[in-house]
Amino acid sequence: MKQYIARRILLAIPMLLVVTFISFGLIHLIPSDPVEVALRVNEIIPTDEAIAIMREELGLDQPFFTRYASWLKQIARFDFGQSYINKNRSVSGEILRSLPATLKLAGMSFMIVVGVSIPLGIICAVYKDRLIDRAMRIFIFVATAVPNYWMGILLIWLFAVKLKILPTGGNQQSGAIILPAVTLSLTYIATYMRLIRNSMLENLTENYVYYARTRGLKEKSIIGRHVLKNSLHESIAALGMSVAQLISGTVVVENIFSWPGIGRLCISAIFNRDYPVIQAYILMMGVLFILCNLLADITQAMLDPRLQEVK
Amino acid sequence: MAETILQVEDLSVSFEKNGQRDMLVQNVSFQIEKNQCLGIVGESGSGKSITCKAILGLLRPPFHVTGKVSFLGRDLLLAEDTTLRKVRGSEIAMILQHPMTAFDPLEPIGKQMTESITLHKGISEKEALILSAASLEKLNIHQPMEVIQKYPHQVSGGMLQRVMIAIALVMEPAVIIADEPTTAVDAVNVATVVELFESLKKMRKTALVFVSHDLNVVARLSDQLVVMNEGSIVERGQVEEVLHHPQHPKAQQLVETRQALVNQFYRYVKRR
Repeated sequence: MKQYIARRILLAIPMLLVVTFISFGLIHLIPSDPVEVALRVNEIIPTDEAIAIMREELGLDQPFFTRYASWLKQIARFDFGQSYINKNRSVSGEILRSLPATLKLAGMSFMIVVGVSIPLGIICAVYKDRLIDRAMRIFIFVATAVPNYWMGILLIWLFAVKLKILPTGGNQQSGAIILPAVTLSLTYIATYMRLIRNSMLENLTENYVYYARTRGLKEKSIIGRHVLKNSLHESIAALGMSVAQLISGTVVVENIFSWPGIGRLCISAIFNRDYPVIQAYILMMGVLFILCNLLADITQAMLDPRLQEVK
Repeated sequence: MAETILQVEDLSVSFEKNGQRDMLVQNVSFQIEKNQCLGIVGESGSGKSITCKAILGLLRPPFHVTGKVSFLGRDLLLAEDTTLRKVRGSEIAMILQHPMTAFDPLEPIGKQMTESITLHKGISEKEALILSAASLEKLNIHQPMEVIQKYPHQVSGGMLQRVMIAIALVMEPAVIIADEPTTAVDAVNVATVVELFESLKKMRKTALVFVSHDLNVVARLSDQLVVMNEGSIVERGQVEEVLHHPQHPKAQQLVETRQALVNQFYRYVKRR
C-alpha cells in the first residue's frame, strides 16, 4: 500500500511540471500586451518610454524561458509575485482573500451533490422503470443539457425576482449561498445519479448478488451493503475529479451571483491581462486536479484490496 | 419407505418479452428423497439452471413460473418472500458454478460466510466464525482462519468452491442444490470436487440435486438421473438404467459422448 502511494506521488511530479509550463506558457498566447493594459488601468498614458520602463519593471523584457525559470523558482517558495494592476498587492494575498468564499461555495455544492445524488441514484436503481425512475431520467436529461449560467439566471428570476425569498447574489445576506450552490450542483447531481443508478443496476446482475440471494440474505442488506459499496467504489474516482471541477467550475456561477470568490478574481484578472494572477489561478487549478485525482486513487486503493496488490 | 423431501410438479417457466412468450422450462416434475442424489443433465440452455432458480423462487418478472414445488409439505411457489428467504440457504442451500464471481470482491471471505449464518441461526458474528472455520476444516482446508481473513481474489477458484460448500454445510440443509459446480473448475480439480461431494453425501443425510452437463461427474454421484432437453425432461430413471439403455435420442447422444471420454476420465482419476 505504501509503495502504491509512493509511486502515485512520484508519478504526479512530472505532471505538476507540465502543469506549470502550460499555465505559464498559455497566457503568452493572448495577443494583447499586458504592459499597455497595466498602464491604462493605472491611468498612465502608454508612451513608448512608459511602456519600456514598465516592461523592465515587470521583467517582461527577459526571454520566455528565463522568465519561466525564475517564475518556477518563485513558485517553489509559494511566491506568485505581485499583481500587475495593483502592485501593492501580492498574488498569493489576493488568492487567499478570495479562496474561502469559493471553498465555501464548492463545499456546499459538493455536500448537496453527495447528499442528493446517492440516495436518488439508489432509489432509481431499486425502482427501475417505475414512475420515480422515469421522472428522474427527465430531470437528468434537463440538468445535463441546460448550461449552468442559464439555469442560474432562471433560478434568480424564480426565487429572487418572482418569489422574493432568496437574494439575487452577493454573500452578505443569509441564504445567499443557496442559489449559487444549487446552480453549481445540478449538473453533478444528474451525473452522479446516473452513474450510481447504472453502476448499481450493473452490480445487481452480478453473480455475487445471485449467490447472496440463494443464501437467503435480505434484499435490503444485499443492496445496502454489497451492491452500494461496490457501486460507490466505482464512483470514487469520478467524485475525486468532481471536487476539482466544482472548485474550478465556480467561475461562471460566481460571476452570475456576484460571489466574491476566486472565479471572479480570475475573470477580472483576465480582463486586465494580470498575468501573475491568471498564471497562479491556472496553476492552482492544475495542481488541484492532480491532487484530487491522487487522493481519489489512494482512497479507492485503500477500499479495494485488489488494487493494493497490483505491481 | 424413503421420505420425499422436495417434490417438483409440472414446473413451467416462461419469459415474456414484447408480448411474446418464450417457454424456457416445460412441465418438469421430479422428486428427491432423503439421502439421495438426483442428477440433472442436459446441454447448456436446456433449462437446468432456470429450474433451480425457480425452485428457490429466485425468478422475477418478466419470468413467469407455474406449477408446484412442495418442500416438506409447503408449496414454495406460493410462499411469501420472508418465508422463502428463511428457506434459502438454511433449508435448501445452493452451490453455484463460477465460484470466482460468487463473492463480493470488497469483503473478506469470513465476513461473507458469517453474513448468512448469523441471519439464519441468530447467533453472534464470533460464533458464526467458529462454525465457519470448523466447516472449512471438514473440507480439508487446514488453515481455515487464514482463508477466512482473505479476500476472494486472494484464493483459488477451487478454494472458493469449497468455501461455498462449507457455507452450505454449516446450516445443515435438507436439500443441497449444486448448479454445475464443476463447470468453472479445471480438469485437475474436477476430481477433487467430485470427491468432495461424494464425502458430502456420506457425511450428511442430505438430499442432493446435482446439475451438470458433464455426464461423467453426474454418473458417479447420482442415484436417479434426469435428462433435460429444450426445457423438458426427456429421460429419467436409475443412473445405470439411463446410462446403459438410453431411449431418447438426446440421452443417447449424451451417453455416446460420455463413452468416448469416460475411459480417459477413469484412467486419469486412477492415476491420481
